[in-house]
Amino acid sequence: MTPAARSDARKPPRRQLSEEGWKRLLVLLIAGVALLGAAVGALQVDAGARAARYSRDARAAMLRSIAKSSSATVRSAYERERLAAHQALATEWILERRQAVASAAAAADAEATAHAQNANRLWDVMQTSRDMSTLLSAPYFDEEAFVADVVQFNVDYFTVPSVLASERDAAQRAQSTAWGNKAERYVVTITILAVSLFLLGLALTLRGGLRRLFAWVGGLITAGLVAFVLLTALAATPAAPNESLSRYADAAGHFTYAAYAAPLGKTADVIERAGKAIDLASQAIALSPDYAVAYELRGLARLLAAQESFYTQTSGSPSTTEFVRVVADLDRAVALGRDSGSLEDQRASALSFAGRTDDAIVASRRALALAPEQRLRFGLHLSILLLGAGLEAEALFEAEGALRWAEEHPLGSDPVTFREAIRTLDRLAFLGWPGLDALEARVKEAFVSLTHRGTVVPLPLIAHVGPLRFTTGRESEARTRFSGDTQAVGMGFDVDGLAAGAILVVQVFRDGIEQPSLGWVEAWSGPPTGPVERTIGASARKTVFGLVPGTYDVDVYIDGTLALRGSFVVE
Amino acid sequence: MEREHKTRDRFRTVVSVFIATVTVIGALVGWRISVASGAAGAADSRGLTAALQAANTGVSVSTYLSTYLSFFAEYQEHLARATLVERDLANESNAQRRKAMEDEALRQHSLAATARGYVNADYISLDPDTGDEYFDGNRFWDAQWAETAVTQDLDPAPSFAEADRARTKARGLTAATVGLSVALFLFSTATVVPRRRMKVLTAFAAPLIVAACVVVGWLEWLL
Repeated sequence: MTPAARSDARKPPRRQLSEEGWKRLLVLLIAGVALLGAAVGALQVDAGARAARYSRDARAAMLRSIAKSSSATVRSAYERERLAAHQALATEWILERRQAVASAAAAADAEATAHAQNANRLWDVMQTSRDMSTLLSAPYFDEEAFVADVVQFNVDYFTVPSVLASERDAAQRAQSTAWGNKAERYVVTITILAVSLFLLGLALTLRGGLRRLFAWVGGLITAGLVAFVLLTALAATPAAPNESLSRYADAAGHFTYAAYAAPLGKTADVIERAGKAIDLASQAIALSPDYAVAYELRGLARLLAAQESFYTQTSGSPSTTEFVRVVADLDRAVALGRDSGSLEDQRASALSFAGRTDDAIVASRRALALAPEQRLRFGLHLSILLLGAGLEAEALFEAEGALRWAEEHPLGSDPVTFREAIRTLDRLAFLGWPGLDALEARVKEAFVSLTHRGTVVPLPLIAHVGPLRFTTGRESEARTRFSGDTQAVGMGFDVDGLAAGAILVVQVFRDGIEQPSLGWVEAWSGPPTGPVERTIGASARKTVFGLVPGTYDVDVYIDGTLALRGSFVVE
Repeated sequence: MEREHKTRDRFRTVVSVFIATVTVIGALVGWRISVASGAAGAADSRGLTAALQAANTGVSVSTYLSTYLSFFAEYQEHLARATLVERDLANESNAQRRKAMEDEALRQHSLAATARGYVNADYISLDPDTGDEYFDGNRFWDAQWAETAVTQDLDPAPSFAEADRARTKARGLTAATVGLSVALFLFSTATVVPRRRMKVLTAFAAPLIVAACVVVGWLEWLL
């Protein structure tokens, strides 16, 4: 016997299934597949039912949210009406008090007493009025400062409830989608099981190799489907705890407040509210580690606070650490599926502050590509980034493109975007970048020209205009400092060759914030040559309110061209 | 030998009858699942309609409420001004000044009356502690809601609960079909296993499972 033959002799004999054995095996396999099909069918029904329920709950919650939001709008209208009525009473009260003081000074005692009585009555009525309004009661009304915190009221009645409702809706929709996907996978499984069943049934009618092949393929498909079903059934569905959603909504409320306070120059409020938003968003993330929008919100709150500190230099020299954390948050949000032009634009800003200028420019260009309808906003942001990178010519070219786009798309060019860009450029002035002043002047002129003339290109200034001078109004001597009780400041300049109909726009800024109530626009109707005398201050419209202390910057535009600039201080 | 053959044939016949019966029961259960799923969808629809009507009613009632509150606030303001003028009038000796104050009080009373005319007076109540008038917004809201609820379904919860019950029923019935499939599997096994004991065991277990499934299905159907 050869060694090979001996080896073959040691092997156990290969077991061959008899005809009857094959039949039994196939019948059992077919019955098993049918059983699996029934089980998958049950899973499909369950998943479908859950998907339908979550979808229904999401729709019902959205309806409730719309109703709440509409009711809040109606409520807000009532509160604003009450606020206006209260302000009217307060104005009457101020007038009566002044008249009482004036009468007393003129030794008209009876009149003084009458005015004082009126003032007292108005004071009592104001208290009655406040009792009928939430906005005019604690915690929204500050009795000492005598102002209502409308922003906080809106945050409490609009922002937080609507964000919470929207997040709950999103969470339920995510659940619905996840269960719907599971149900679809089960349907696919049942379909493929039918194929397996067909192959096994066919194997019953065959013999030899083909029967073996069909039985194997049918069995393998079934085994693969069992694994697929197990993976599908065990896959987790996205579940965000309610507590996490609540923290996120509260964080959104604080962030909204901070974002509202930022353009008003309320730095302390911005930093405090952004800090609260960061804490609450962190808590939301701790409860739901994959909460994408919470990362985005935390990143934006960090960016807002860090920018505010940077601009006001309240935290010493600019630190890139905080901006690196902003980038980390926004990158995480992107990794979790958030992707928008707005997010990319903010990311670009953070990257720039973090010292990654090239990445910032790439991100900014991507933001423009993602949201071409935001060409003005993102284009101006990009031009500022380019300016920071020392690419002055490219920056001005980019800005020009954005401004031209604004002219072609007046509905997509809101004043907020212009004002925000102007303020940012103004706040960056301390960095002394070459081209910064030119860009700021260009954006300012484009804004004024677009608003009042419909084009971003101002008319060249032909007339000669003299320097701005500020006076008390009573005296002609020019000055730059005024006492705290100043009601109005006289503003004058000389013109030579100013054509009738020229559009003269005066913008007034207090501590860098535009004061629309102090500015005005007029079509020139005076003589072409001579002095121009105007008054800055609400008293120009014969009211009792004066100028708030601060540094005032005045810009005078003629046909869109920034013709004159000046400033004064009210102590 | 022939007797054994006959016994085997009889066994196969009985199992075949069982399989056919289980298949028919399965079809019936499938029909009930379909009915339950349909009922769940219909109840959801009714619930969403109620939710929509509730949302509409909420907006409508809050708009009216806000309007009434606004006029009531105006009324209170003018009334307060009139009352305060009349209080000071009592101490005023100057005739000219008295006349002016009387005119002012009359003016404020008239304005108060005008504003009050726009308020739904049914909901002006008196505070038992202070005796002051106030607009009872909660009562107004409840009354308006109740009035609308007479003609419209404003509560989606019962319909949603009904839908959830129907879905639970569908799930229970689906579980029964899985049980029936297990029974079918056992019947099939009984026909092919060679060992007698195994044959008998599976053949007896299967009807028990079928019976349990029928009971579960029947209960789900009834409840």
